[in-house]
Amino acid sequence: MTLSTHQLLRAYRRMREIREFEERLQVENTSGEIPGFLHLYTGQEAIAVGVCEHLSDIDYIASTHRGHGHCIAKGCDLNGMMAEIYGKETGLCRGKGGSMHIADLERGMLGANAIVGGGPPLAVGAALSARTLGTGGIAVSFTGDGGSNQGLVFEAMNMAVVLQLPVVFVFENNGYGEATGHDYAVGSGDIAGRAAGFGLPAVKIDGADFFAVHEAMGVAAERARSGQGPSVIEAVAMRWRGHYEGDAMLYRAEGEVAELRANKDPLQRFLQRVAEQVAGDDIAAIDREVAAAIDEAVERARAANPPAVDQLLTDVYVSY
Amino acid sequence: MTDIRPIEVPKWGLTMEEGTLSAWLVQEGQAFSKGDELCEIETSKIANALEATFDGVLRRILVQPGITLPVGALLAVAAPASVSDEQIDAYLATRQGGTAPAVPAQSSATAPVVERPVAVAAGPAERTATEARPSGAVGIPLLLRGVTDPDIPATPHALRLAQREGIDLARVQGSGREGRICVADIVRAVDAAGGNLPMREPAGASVAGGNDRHIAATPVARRLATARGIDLRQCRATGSRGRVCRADVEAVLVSGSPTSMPAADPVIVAPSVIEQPLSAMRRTIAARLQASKQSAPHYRVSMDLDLEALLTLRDTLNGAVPGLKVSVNDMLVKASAQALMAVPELNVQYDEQRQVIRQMADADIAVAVAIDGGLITPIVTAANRKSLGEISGQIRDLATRAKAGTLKPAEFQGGSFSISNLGMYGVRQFDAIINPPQVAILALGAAAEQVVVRDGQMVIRRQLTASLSSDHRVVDGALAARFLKELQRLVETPALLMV
Amino acid sequence: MAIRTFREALNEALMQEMERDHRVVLMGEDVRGGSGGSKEDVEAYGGVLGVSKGLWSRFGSSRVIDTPVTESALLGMAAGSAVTGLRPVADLMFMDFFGVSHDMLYNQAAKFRYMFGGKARTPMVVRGMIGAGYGAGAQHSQSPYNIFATTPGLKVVVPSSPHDAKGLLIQAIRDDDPVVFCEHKTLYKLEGEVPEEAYTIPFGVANYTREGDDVTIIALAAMVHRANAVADKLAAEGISVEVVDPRTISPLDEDGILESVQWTGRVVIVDESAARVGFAHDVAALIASKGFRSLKAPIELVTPPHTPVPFAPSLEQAWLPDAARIEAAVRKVLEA
Repeated sequence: MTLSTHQLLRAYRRMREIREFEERLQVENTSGEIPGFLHLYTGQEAIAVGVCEHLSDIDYIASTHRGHGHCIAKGCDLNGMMAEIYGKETGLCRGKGGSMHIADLERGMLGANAIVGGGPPLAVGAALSARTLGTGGIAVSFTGDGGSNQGLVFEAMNMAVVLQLPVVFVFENNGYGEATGHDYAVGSGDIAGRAAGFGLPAVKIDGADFFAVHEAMGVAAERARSGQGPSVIEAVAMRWRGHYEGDAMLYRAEGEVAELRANKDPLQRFLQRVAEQVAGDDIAAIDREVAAAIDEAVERARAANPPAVDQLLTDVYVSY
Repeated sequence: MTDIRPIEVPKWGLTMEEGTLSAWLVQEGQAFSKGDELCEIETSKIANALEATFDGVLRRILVQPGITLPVGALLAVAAPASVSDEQIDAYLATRQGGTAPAVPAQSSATAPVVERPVAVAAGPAERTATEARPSGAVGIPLLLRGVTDPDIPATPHALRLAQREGIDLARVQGSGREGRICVADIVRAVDAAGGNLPMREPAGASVAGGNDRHIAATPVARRLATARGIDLRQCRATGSRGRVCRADVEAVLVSGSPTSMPAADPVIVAPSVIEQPLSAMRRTIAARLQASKQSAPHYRVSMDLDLEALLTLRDTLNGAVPGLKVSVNDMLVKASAQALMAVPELNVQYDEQRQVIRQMADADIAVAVAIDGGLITPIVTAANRKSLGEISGQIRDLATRAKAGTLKPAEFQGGSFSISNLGMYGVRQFDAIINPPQVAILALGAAAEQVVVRDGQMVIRRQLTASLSSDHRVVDGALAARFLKELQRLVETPALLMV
Repeated sequence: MAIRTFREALNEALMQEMERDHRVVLMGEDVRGGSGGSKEDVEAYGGVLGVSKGLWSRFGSSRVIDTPVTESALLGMAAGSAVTGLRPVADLMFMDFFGVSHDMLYNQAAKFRYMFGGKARTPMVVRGMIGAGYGAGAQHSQSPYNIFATTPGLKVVVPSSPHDAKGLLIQAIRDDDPVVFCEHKTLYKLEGEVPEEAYTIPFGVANYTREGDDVTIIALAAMVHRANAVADKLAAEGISVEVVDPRTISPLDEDGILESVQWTGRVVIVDESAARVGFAHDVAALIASKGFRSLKAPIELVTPPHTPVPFAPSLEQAWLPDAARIEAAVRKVLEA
């Protein structure tokens, strides 16, 4: 499928937003102002954006603990996200969720999820809603290679097949589940191949290649929207950072990350691919605007107030 | 200021302290004229109708028949038809929460009055108060009173409390989920409106004003005792852990404690015939006095006592000592006690079973007191050693508590001599029945002006007839006569009561 | 008003709510029964003990969904669909199975609203059977409602009568929060008067099945009936027992419980869920901290021992709090 210049620029902007957001967080985290854990998505931008370019607000995604990229790709507000990560009342979840629980239901973002493998069943539910209510929407779950082994992920895939639900299971094979390599933890060594055994089409693609992702997702989304049921996409793209910020990455060979930066940068590959179609000036302008937007997000987040103590007790229930 | 007029318990006579409303003669909403009879009120002495002192419309009846209230208590409210109900509510609210119907204001006298059971159906929001109230009297402000709609969200205990006390929950603010009313909300509302609603006492007072709270009893026993007006202190304690148990309370009921309330309800057997089962007290009195009359050979010795000197002394004392209200009866108790010291053979108890005469050192004089449904004889112990003032005070206290049903057994069982006085009814002479194990009882008639002969002249003297009934198994006629002679000497020369 | 069994009352609640609101969807293992069997178009079960009988026939496969035996996916699908517009009723069958499904309830559904700053609404119901007494064995006889109740964000309902079952289930379905609805399996055939129309019973309102003055018994589900029997027996001796059935343990009717204790001063709590860290202990702590001054005797707890539920009927009956133990506890608090 050929993308227009407009679509290409939009995709680039999204990927650049993710890259800058994550790299800025990497820096800001050292200030000590950000509470809790951060799990950065750097290096995987093409997957989130390649998938979400096929989605609108009526479609739902369920994410992982490494969810900033999915959030941005789905269209969540950068300021709201940054404030949430800083634990401020202006955050998307009013400071009560944090990095691992960022959500925006109005944008169809079911939330980052701190439970590994927690996303797929929720996406199945969202798909059921969409079909039952006839909204025309589909659901997508993102799961890592570590999460791909979870029992409830298998259950979710089986359920989706049995009920023929409009859901796409995206497995982001970023090489590691925490400190354990994919080669070790995935017994069959082949996430997509294993998923296929559940009775749904499953493809394995290069997750650092935006166009590969975009194309595979195009096929899967079309299947789902036309009532042909669920699909699996395994997208391979190594993460550049540790499992969490502060992870010394002792499980990675020397120079592995440097090599990724140099040769496997999804943004660079994208730019090389679109060089003919897209003006350098437009790219530079996007880079500047994104940098400014990230600056603004950080400033605003810093300046905002933490939630008042009376917010402690609110929103446990709708009514009690 | 609108024309709202209260209708209150009147004071008929100097000594009247309280009255019992026995019937309304005018209905709510009915107009009346000055001089019309509004209601009937009974006191211990008389029954009379309360006449209206103004023209009006009876707008709100606050007290139902059967309820006893002190003089001055609010019975009803009259107002022209133009006055609204809300204005009447406001007026009632300003008249203190404590004037809620069916609750006696705490007078300076002793224990609160026991409410008598309401026998006839009354108007809305009636309470058939058959149980004695704990001494922290309940006062529900009028603006909270009413019939509660059971569909109003409230906890089960709040609903029960409202129904029990006649509170309209629609007027209470609920603090629970979605405005649900709990007991604490009701208490708050009553407090805020100036009333009083003591929470249920964990240990539970069993008899009005009674102090048996500290007596260990099983919950069942305690509830039974409360319902039957029995003081736990008069029960044996044979239950586990040294507690009064149900069997102990039942034993007192069966043995006929004089203070127990009537057991069963009357039964209408024919249009004009109603059967009333005997109360425990009535059964007791019947049994004891029958046994006494049948086994003790009663005979009467009478003497007229000249009271002029005694009455003069009485008036002198009552006039000179503020708060002192000695009666002729008090003085006769004192005189009898002293006479018994002079004639100690009469100051005995007769133990028929063991065939023994027990000589008492002091004169414990039992004074007959009429109470609701019967009679009781509280004892002034060692009357020979008490002053007139002490005797007078003690008799008044005993009589009050006798009517309240709060006498301890020791206070009415035993004694060495009894005095019964029907003088207040105008009786000239009567013969009383001896209270075993005593051997004599003095019956006093009314003090009246008599024409007597002194020194050949006819003079008018105030006198009364004293009749001594004696048990001839123990008391011979001469002994009885000697006693009466001594009594006469003391009464007619009352200065002798000082030595 | 009609006479219905507990099971029929639940069925009626589901039928009437599914009729009223197209977003109510029933899902679970064999809620229809017969999916993919060799016999076509059959409702083979209508739920394992028949609670959903007739629903598939009425509403079809889009509203009554048989799922494979995958409880995590079942509750996850329920959670995900609830937060995106449906009002699912997930039939977990036996609450003992919460073990293989609990993350979706515990970490997801219960916490969405709070974690997402009040922007999520998760109107789901998880129904399942609780209770011992049928010889169903250790893994099919538990009552883990104490575990659900301790989780903020969940509501927990434990009805004891057909009337309460219908009203509370309708309330649960209409409630916008996740509700765990525990059905005592031995009560399914219990009959009672049930209004024919749909009605709700608010959460957090206890029911007094007996009113009395001397002792309070607090009990849930099947234990309510045992408590009632003991109360009736003791009434003949003049002992007046008040039986309080909280009906919902989250939210809990604290006033309803404390007022009864304030009235009687003596309390026995009967609970078959746990020997430790259970519902009985939660209520005992409430009473001890907020009702201490009303107590005339120490609180008596009647629970099973700290063992799994045994299979042999002789042992299972000994495991359950029975009338004799409840009566002994009542007499004990009266003695103290």
